Amino acid sequence: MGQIRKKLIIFMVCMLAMTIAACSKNEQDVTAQTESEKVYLSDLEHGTIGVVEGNATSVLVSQQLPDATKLSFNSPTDMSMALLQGKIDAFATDESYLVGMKWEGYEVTRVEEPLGITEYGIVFPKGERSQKYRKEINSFLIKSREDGSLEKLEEKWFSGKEPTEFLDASALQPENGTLIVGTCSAAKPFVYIKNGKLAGFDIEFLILFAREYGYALDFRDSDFTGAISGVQQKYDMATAGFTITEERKESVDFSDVYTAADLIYIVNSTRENEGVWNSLITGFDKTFIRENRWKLIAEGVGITLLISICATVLGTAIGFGLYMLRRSQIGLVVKITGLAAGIYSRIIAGTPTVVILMILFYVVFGKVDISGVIVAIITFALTFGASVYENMVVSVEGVDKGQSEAAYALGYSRNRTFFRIVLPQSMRAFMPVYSGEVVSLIKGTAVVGYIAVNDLTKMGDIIRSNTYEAFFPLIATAVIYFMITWLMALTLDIVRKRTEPKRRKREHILKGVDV
Amino acid sequence: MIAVKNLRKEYPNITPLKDVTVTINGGDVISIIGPSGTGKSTLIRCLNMLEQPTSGQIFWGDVCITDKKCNINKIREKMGMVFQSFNLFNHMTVIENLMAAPMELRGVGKQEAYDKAMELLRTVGLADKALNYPDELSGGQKQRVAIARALAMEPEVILFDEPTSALDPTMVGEVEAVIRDLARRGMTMMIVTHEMRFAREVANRVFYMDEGGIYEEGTPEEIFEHPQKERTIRFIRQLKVFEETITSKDYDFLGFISRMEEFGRKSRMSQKMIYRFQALMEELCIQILLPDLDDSFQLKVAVEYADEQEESSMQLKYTGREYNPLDSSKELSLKIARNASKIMEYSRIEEDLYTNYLRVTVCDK
Repeated sequence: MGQIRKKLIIFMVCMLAMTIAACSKNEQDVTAQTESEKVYLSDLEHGTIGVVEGNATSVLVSQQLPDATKLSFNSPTDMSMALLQGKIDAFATDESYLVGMKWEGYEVTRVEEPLGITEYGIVFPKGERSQKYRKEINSFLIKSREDGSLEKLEEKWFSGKEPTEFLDASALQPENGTLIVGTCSAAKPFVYIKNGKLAGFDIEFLILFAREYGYALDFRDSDFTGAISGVQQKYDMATAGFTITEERKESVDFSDVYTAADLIYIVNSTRENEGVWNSLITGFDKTFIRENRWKLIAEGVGITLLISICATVLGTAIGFGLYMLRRSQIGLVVKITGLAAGIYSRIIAGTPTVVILMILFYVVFGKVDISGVIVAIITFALTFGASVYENMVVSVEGVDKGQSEAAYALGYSRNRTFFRIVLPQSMRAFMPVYSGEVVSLIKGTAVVGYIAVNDLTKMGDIIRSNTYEAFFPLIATAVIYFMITWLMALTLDIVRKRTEPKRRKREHILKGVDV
Repeated sequence: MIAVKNLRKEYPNITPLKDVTVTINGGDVISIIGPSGTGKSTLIRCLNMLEQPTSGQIFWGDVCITDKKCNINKIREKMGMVFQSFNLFNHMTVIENLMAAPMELRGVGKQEAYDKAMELLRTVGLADKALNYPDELSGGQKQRVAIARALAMEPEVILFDEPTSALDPTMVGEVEAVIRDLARRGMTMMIVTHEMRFAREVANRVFYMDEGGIYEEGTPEEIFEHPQKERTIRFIRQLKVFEETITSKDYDFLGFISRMEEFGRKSRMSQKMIYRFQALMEELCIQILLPDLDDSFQLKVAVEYADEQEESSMQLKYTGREYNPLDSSKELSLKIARNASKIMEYSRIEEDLYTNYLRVTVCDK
């Protein structure tokens, strides 16, 4: 009897504690959001809704809100900025996105009625290549769901507060090999960059998995399409909060669902505006200071410079080499290079660089594990080479024919005539165009983000997607590009002036001569 | 020194040199004259292979320089060339223009090249411009530097391609003086020029070029005083020529007469002379000759006129049997013709295509 009473009391206490706990939670909810502040679908009937075109949510929005105006955007990041600036009343995305925005301290909330539900899975290539890993992930899912570790992870990442402690992938030991994992760091809270490192739910889930199965992890950060096509061709798997859809299943395999979320509308619930000054200060702080984000920018500048300089040097060599082949006296070589150079420069001139870039990365080097930076250098060297070649042709033709005739008549050979007489004079026409081409090359490298290279522009994008702040990342990017191109043009101008024959000092001309 | 054999140069739509055979001896100073477009420049540009001849051979001493195996660069070192447009190297100072080739091609030391260049600049009177750039010089100065540049390589021949044509008239003299000085020192030269007075006094041989070759060659006296051939005469006397060939009795004579009038006005012939030529054509060609000529015939009418001369001539040449229009029975026509002309002479030339030749002289008075 005594025992039964004891148990009953314990049971009662437990129940009481739970009720109190439940009540207190309720109370919190009430204080956080009173009934009058809740937003319902009816409020948006004639509003402007942001959607990502081609996305499944876009169709759902049309069905739910037939009278609303739909605005298409490229990414949730763009939509969130539009929302904060008041350009749209709400945008449709998944619940996880709300989490990310709240971490940054934005006062946003969701419409009560969900659009639907979405499920996330890890992506694997079709076929046998990664079936083993897929099975291992699936059994790890079952196990972690049973032992509660998955739930703990969800709580850590999907509750309103940003975690402060992170798991580290670099501590993993490659006992059973290293997994190459494609990802995209613009998918907070699944994957994002924190203190210069990848963090997020997906990352930690895979770290737990890898710990269990004895793998090391090699993450390849690019954009969504890059991660998926990377999986199809070379990566072992990819994860970045990928929604499981029938369409995607046709081209890749998915693991079992590892988490699910509501599809929701996010609306702005900011009650009053921050002062302009304050918002500038927080914007600056978020963009540069917090998490040492300036380091991202510095890293991006480094990559942009690396690509620009390598492509300039290599492209100049290509253009010059092609021109020398064209000048060679072997008839067949001249014909072939003339034809090839013609086709080459025609194709390069007539195709957007970004398309060539993607063709090289996803098609030509698709199956090869090659760094995007190298592909970018190759691409820009090719395009730059074509313009250097054209520039050479035009500048050399611009030198009066009489100059080479006079040299020939003195007994100069073809090569000596070219290098001593024609080339130095063609530089006057060559250099200004060349300098302009270098500047457009530098600006042109801004598209390398398409193949997952984290250059200056891409780093600006990453910061924007983390902070939902448009002003400082964009202005900073613009200013830095301007500085780089301006410095480059200045340097080339100095080189041009230094090599200008007429600037030589008179003493230098008669050096070593007893006058 | 240079021997040219059956040289021919064709361009896609024109053949400036049809068949040239000539020998140039050491010490020769040759003026090449002739109307534009007759291959004068092409000829001397073929001599140093700036133009690739279509066929034929050129010998430099015993060396056949048209041969593919010949190293033309070595030959060119001994054959200087001066261009119409100077072609000084614009990125070099005057002194460097003179020093570059000897240093680079003949391995002359810098000091030696400099001393030689300064000496040459002194002889062309431009030593004070040594450190100037070509674009700081006048046309005449540029051409003198260009001559000095050619001399710096110590050539055995210098080819001049219209050296004064691009110059202001006031600067022609200074360049000619330099060339004349070279001639006095025995330099072998070939000079394409339009300056007749200069061509005559500087040369020991003159080539008149026309009809795709050297049309007439001789001493300056022969060419300028006693030219033998028709085109040479016309060129030397600076005759303006109106020439048409009539091959049918249905010829458009009204057009022909009005073209003659146009030619007369263009060459500033007096109105009186134009009338006289028109009357002569009308009476001699239309009234007398045409009705009496054979059915298939060729009649060439040429009017030659020189500026500011009182006399001009008209030549009628025609094919067929011997026929003297002055014997015609058409008295009226003949009388008009006699009134319009000063002299009318008929002759028979058996060896020509045109066997009948009537020369009519017309006076302005």
